[in-house]
Amino acid sequence: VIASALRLAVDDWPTALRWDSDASAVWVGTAAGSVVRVPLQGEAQTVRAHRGGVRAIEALPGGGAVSLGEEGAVCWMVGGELTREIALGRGWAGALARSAEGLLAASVGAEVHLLSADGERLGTRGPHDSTIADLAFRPDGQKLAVAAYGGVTLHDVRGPRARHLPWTGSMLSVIWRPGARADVIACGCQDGSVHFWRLPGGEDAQMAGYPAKPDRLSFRHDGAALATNGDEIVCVWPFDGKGPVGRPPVQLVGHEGPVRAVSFSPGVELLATGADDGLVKLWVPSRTTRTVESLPLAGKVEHVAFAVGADALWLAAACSEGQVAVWRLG
Amino acid sequence: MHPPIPVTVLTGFLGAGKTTLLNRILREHHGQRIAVVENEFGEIGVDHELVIDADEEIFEMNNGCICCTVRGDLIRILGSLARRRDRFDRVIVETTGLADPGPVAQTFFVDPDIQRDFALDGVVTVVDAVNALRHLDESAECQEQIGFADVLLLNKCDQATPEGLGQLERRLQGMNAAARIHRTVLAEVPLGEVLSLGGFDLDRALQREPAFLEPEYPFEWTGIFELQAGVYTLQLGPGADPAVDLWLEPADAGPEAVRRAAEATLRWSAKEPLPARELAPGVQVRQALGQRVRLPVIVPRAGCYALHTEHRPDELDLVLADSRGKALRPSQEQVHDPDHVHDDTVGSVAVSFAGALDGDRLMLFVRTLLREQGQDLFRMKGLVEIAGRDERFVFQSVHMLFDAKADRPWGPGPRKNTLVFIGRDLDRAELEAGLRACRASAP
Repeated sequence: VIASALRLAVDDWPTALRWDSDASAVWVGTAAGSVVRVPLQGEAQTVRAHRGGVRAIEALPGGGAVSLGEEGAVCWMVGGELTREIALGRGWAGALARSAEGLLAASVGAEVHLLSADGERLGTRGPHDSTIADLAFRPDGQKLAVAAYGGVTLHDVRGPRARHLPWTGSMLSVIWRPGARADVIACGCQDGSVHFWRLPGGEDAQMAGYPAKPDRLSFRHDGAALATNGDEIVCVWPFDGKGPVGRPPVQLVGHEGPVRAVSFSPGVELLATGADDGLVKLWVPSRTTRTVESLPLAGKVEHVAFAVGADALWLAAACSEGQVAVWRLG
Repeated sequence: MHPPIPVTVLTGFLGAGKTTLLNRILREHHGQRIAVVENEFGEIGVDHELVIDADEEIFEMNNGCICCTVRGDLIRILGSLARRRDRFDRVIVETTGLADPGPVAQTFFVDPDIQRDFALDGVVTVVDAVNALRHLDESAECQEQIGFADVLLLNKCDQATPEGLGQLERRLQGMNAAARIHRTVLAEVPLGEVLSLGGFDLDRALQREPAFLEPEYPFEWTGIFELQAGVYTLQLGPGADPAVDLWLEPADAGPEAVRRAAEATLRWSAKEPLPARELAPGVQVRQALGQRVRLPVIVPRAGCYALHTEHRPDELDLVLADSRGKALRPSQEQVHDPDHVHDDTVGSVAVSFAGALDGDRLMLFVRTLLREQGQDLFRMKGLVEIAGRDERFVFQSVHMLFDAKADRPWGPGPRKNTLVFIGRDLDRAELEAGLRACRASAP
């Protein structure tokens, strides 16, 4: 059962979408630099946070959110109030990540800045050899993966130790396989491939042949499958057993435009995808390659995100025309 | 769907006037909103609204079997600009003075999102009219910047001599026959000449200087002689060089005899000819020059023959005499443009001929060419007739990356294929023969 919960217009092209930590609101960042808090009940609140476009948003465990802007600043917001701003410096503001414990990592240029949830500076990692494209904390929060041209660097969060996993190519996104072992790191690459490493050994392999860059990756909640964009078709690679090498992916055909957003839900197998065709589609890849549900929006869908609420599963999406939509599932 | 946003790439050596041109473009009231991607050493007025600082970052990319380098920072920046496309009408990317324009240009071919949202409108290279000849001799990057250009702005013309300008312009044309050249002072040029080039204006570039459709012959002079069967004598004086290359080729007496004979000879002309004992049709020889040289010329049967000489006859005191010692006059003669002879490794080859091409053959030729010579082939531009198609077919490449599409329909006038190749050490005869073999009527 899918019920439309709300639709709302924001002032510009949404560039980031995150659920609040208690699933009571979504945070939307825009190309104009605004961060909008859209509660499930009540009025939306807009914070003019950044001079450049918003690059990323993370929700904070106790409520509120933090955002990274293209001008290289990190902003903290509670409700509709800007509570703190830290300028990290000049350069490409690549990514913002938050660990389970609330530790923040933001990249500007080739350097990572570590920050506490309330804005205390905890040091830097790098500079790396190339501008950082993406960051991801290991599920236990003890390691930080840094993706850039030339591979992935794994940093100890509490110490200076680092390990480089090299690969010739431009890594655009990085993701850890969920679960206690966190034994796979996967990257979407500019050259139309997904590259992954097994840990602790560092053996690597890749899935190539995408017509476009697969820059959005999402693992199923149990780590047994990896969904990727990079085409009109969504590829879901098997990561159970021996993994994807030598095994075909499940191919989800249905979108009529490049897929921009890919996200598995927490807890149950449900995959949401968004594409330039203006549709959010829901899939259960292990059961059927047919679309379970198609939800239309007013423009290119670039963001989808799930949240588990007290009594329901929620899905939010945002599209190029500034439309934000939230649905209640089941 | 939005039309692609045009992007102009601005290159040029330090001090050539790139910044002057950029400032002029930004200040002029052209009604267009421009986003500027500035290099890390840029120094434009800070009050412009949309300036993005770029740290030039070169990525190597593997696309199937094709290797290329792209500007990684530019992929990121353009991706972000695409989400702010309502704020500007065009983009200008300024490169550093020492940059090879290849990676910038290739960036527009490798990423599907960029290909959809942006179109490379043109590469504009600003050239310092005073110092360019020195830069050209000293720097590979400078030659590359010339080779990649759609428009060459000869700036600071007020500080150069007319002779120097003429010499420079001829040299630049030889290196890049497809570029439009403008002489400017303080980068004053109508903006329509540097923006909105539409990426493709081959006709116009070649109309300016149709002589560039002519090959660079290894000989400076051709004469057509009517000869009887028998032995003639070629008399040569001392000359300036120790030796001279000579060719003899059967010809016809028609109005285009010189050109036809010259092109025919070009196909078999060798770089290292045999030392001369005699000259005969279809043979190229190298004759050592001394005080006075007499070379026998063997004519097996009566007819028209073309004699090509590496230097002009007056430089060689050249006389072709019959068996009684009587000097013969050619029925037609032509001096080929010696300006084409230069030492630049970067050069261009323009080929034009009629006859619809077979689409499959052309694709195979282009793919093979790019795979084998793409590293040295900076750019290729073509406007061709494909058999069975009423539209003109345009294509262009940057190194190994290739883009082809159907254009507007042909007009009522004659149809022809026009292609320009710009790069290092290009082989005209090979390119032309390969293209002619793509004709649908070819065997």
